[in-house]
Amino acid sequence: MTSAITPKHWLTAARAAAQEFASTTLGLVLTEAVPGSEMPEDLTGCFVALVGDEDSIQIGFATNASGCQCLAKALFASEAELPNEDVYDALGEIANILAGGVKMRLASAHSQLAIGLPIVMEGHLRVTERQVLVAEDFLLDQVAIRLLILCGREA
Amino acid sequence: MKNLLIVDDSKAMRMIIRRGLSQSSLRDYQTEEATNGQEALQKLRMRSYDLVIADWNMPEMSGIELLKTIRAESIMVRFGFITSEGTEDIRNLATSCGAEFVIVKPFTTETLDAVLMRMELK
Repeated sequence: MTSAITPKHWLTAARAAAQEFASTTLGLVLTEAVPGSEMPEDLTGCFVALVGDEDSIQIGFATNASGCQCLAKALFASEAELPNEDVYDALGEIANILAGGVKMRLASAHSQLAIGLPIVMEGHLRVTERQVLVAEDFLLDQVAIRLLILCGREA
Repeated sequence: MKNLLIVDDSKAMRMIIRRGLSQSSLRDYQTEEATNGQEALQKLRMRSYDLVIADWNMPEMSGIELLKTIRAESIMVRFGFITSEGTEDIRNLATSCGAEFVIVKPFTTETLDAVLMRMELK
């Protein structure tokens, strides 16, 4: 069912959702990362599944530890360092909003998607032969962020 | 004094909603919080509220399950969603079950304020 939607389409929708979230909730602008700038390999991030009748995809984002703190502080409107529990809560809510934005943007092409609950991930992301991972790097203020779409290879 | 119940599994989102309420033109209100529909239902059975603002997707009991349950139990309370679920199907389901609004995340204080004004909650 998702075959008509390519990974690039999912990523484009995720980018638009992230831009809307950044400007509406955080009052910040999401800009493309400078070409050649590299993200560290060990990242912390969060995924939310969009589950269809026949298949599903994972929409997520990742950044480094300090980036996670920055995002969480921005969401909580806090200047103090936040405990991991609050950071993970913030990451989950951001991923949830991104997934909702993607679902809404692609509803005309795929109307039967259900949003899952967020899962926080740390470290390397291993992709199997049956999966495709597409990513795009951005800057949210000074925070480097990688948007991630993980889907089945046939999608 | 208006009593509002905020139901969301995310602490960050509960805080954002509280912040939005404080920046709105709503005055003379107090808020309580619940982290899922089941917890909210316990509170709603214990005391009366003027408005429930609930998320849609939550563990244990979702927002729409909560709304259906309180209607089935004839608990009289006004109800709205602040959710990342913004499709037409979701809006229609929410409305048909008795929700008075569906605000889609991300939202602005102006959006929340406009809904509260329309409800004449002030």
